[in-house]
Amino acid sequence: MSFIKFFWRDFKSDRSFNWFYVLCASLGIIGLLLVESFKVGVEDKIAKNAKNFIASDLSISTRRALEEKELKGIEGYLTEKKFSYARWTETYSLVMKVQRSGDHEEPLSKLADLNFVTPEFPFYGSVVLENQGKKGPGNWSSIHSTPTVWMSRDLSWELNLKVGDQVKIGEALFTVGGIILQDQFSSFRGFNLAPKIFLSYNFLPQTQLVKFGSTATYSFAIKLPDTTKTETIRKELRGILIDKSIKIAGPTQASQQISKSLDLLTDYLSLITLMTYLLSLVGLYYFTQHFLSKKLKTFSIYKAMGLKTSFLFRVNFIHLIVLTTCAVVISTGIIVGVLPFLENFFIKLVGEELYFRLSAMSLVRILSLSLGGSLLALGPLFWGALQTPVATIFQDLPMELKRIRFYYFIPLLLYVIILAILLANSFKVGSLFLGALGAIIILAAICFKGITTMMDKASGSFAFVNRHAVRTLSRYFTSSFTIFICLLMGMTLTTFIFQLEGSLRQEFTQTFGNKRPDLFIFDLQDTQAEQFEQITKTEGWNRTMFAPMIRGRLIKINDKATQKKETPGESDPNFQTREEENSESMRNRGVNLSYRSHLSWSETLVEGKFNGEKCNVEKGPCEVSLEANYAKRLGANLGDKLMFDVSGIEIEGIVTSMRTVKWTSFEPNFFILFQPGVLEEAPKTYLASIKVKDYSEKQRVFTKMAQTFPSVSLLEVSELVRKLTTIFDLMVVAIKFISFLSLFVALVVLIAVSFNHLELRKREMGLFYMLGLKLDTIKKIYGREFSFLILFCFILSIIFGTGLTILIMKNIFNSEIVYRFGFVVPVMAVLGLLLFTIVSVRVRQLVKNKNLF
Amino acid sequence: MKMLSILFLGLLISSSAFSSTNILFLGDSLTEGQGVDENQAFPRLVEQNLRERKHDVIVTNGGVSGSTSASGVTRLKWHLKKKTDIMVLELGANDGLRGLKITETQKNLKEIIRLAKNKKVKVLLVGVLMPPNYGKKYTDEFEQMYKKIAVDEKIPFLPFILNGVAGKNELNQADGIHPNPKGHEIVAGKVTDFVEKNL
Repeated sequence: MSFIKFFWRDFKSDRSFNWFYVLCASLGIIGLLLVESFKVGVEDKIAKNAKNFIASDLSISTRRALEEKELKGIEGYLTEKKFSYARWTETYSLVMKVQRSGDHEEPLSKLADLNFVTPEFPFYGSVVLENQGKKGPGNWSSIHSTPTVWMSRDLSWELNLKVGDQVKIGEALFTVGGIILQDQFSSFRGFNLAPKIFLSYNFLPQTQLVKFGSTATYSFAIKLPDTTKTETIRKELRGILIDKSIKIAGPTQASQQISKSLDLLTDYLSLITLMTYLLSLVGLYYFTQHFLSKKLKTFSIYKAMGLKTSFLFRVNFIHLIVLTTCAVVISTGIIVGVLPFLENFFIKLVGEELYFRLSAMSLVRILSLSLGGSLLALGPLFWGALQTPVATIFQDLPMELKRIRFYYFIPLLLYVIILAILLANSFKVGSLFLGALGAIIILAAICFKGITTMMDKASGSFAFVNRHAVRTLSRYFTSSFTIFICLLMGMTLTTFIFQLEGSLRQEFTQTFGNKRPDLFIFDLQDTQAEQFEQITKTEGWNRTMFAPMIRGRLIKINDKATQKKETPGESDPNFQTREEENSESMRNRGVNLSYRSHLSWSETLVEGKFNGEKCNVEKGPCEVSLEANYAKRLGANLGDKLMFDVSGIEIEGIVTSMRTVKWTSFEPNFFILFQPGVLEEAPKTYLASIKVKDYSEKQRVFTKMAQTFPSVSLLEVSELVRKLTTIFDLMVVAIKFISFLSLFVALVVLIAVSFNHLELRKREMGLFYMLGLKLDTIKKIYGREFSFLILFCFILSIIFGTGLTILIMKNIFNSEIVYRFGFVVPVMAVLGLLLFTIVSVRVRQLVKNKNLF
Repeated sequence: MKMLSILFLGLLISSSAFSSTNILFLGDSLTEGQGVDENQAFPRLVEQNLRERKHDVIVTNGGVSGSTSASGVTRLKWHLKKKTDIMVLELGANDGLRGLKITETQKNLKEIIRLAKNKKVKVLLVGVLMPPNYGKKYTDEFEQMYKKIAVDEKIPFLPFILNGVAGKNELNQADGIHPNPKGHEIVAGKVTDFVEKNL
């Protein structure tokens, strides 16, 4: 008989298995595809948001005027590559209102952040103008034809301007053509010191503002073709512009917050993909084990007929490939058909436009994941099964796959390790995660063995049903442990997902919304602090932060001078690594010191003890708290003595605690906090932030502050905060959504595993029935067995899942875990109950069927 | 507070502090030496230069990055707790960069000068210019403000501390505003001559 004919006959004879396999594998793959498409969609969306920040794919910016040679180099390169680009020059200047006829008051002038752009600008992003709507790419012509400006609403209000009024900028007159309500572009200097104005590069010469000695940021915004890799172009441009003071940045490098949040999200999504995959693999493994145990006798018959083991192996291996490919094709078809509906559902659900995408690469990845994983996981099972002696043909007992050796799975282990590293995009993330899972399996095995042995010994005094359930667990250890470990992994990973989701969601700080500031007030003098506090109270402002700031310079660490003299432009050869050099430059800088009696809401103590009591300076050095990452860069540890120069006076402190600061809080981060009692007398200024209710309150704050403290600076940060929080909020939605998605995959796998386990026990159920046991008693035996397994898994999964979350949060996300037992325990309990119910229904069906042989 | 008093006392009883000329540089990031080592900032270089020229001086760097003229009086009070003979006042640049009203800056600078004079401290005024992007009107008024203060208060005046340094890439840090160590050396040369003339 030809190979194909034999294969086809064998394939057809396993019809029910084939359907079941394809169905369950498809469910797993659908989960993977959903996670993958969501991941691609979210990353795409965030990358687009980030592009809006720099209005392009790549930007070149510098705070010095570019030399002729550099300009020619850039323009020559961009022209040769046929890349579109826009010039963008940002500078600060005073904008004066041109008096209308009849105006008698003193002409007003205010500092503004002027952005001169060429007609190509922007390639991405937009501004929203009052009564004129959104102005995106290709829609900016009105500012280029005549001297027109678009100015921020704050500035128009401060200068009492409306559309059609005139302003003097430098030596040129401009007409106000639009009032900006929202703008998506970021300042190259981070925070804007002043409200923004957009105007045409064509009129820059007339203003006479940018010339020798001017301070400005000179930028190129570059649009790259879709297929071009930003990093490649960045490197090529760096070859032309060797001066490091010229920044060449892609969208994600342009904003530290975006870059950090993207890194976090990518790590998280990669971990989830890896977990979903591992869960699917667990399910698949169990399926095949079931399938093979059913086919053992058939294999023996084939072998008795003279067929070779290698021939049978090939047949079954191809069988698996065909089934997995079918599952991939079916699930991809379903996903492609369903994605548009899912997108609409998502938009309705969260009000956020998000396109679920599946790239060709992600399809290839899923296919190779499914095929590679299943072949390496299941191949050894087949090989082991085919080693079964022909004599088993005469056995009437249920056969188990006992000929599988551990080393058969070494290729799978290596495959999973490589996969973990590739999927997580990091050796650390992948290996840490897998290492932790390995440790959990070993610990779980010890626990399971210990408990079942103990229960077995004590089972003599148990009632029949319990005794039988306990003894089955301990005496059929391999099969019991397999189902136990499958359930445990599923439940542990689910606990982990929800604990991690809660912790990360906290990181993106949806709950901090009422504390996100709108206005920063700085340079408030010591003598003005009391009056400011008074005004805050009487006006009812929501002051979110008020902190003294003392400027100092770190001069010694443990009596060793930190100052290091370097020849300008030369690196010190004594520095072994870039980190060492950075650490040294950190030490050389001036630092902002503060003092406080308590930790702020955005800070968490990670090491040592924070001392907020007043220090007795006569008794020795007072205590200092350092921000953990700053301490790391500085190379300072608990117990180290730090010496600062504060306006000519040396002040010593001893490090007694380390803190982390929520980077999404928008709170000024004081790296160094002294105990109260040390710095109160030192010259200082105060920083404050205010959260306003609405625009009219913002106006009132501006007016009151300008009247009372004309020299105090107010920084409007709500627009910047709004831009970043839009991204953070999207992250929160993404994390939440994807967590529920993986919960769905976990449930499917757990049910599939349980069903397969029951299939394997069908014969045993029949025997019980034949021996005269009542159907109710049979149901109870399996019910007890499963309830023990599920309860044990439930307890261990909470412990292991939490441990895994602590490990991952600390080592990968560098953050603290937010315990969510109030949520996780009920969810896991419901999952356990659901599983128990489904298993009970299945047992009832199997027993009712009576066709147990 | 007691610890600080002890430190002050230590400085007061030090004999060298009595015999030397104590010079306080009260300024902003230029004086502090933002982005460079404290030993590379111009006040320390001025001290070295003057000592090389056989002048017995002790320099205190009272520069604070980002500070405006409004903080001057409080900071001067802190420094006046120890013996100060000369104050080199270099403040106002941040007022200008933030577009604050010139009349307000002028008022603050005069208050600082008067406080110093009352405490018998000789005041040397160092001026800065606003970069051209702040517009001709504002930059002219800003420049005139220093001249007017110097005339009104009858104090020695160095019109532009960054003369020969501003706008030159090779003498400034990447921000285009703060001098690098080479820039500080040039600044120190000019300030040394100015201070020496008024010792």
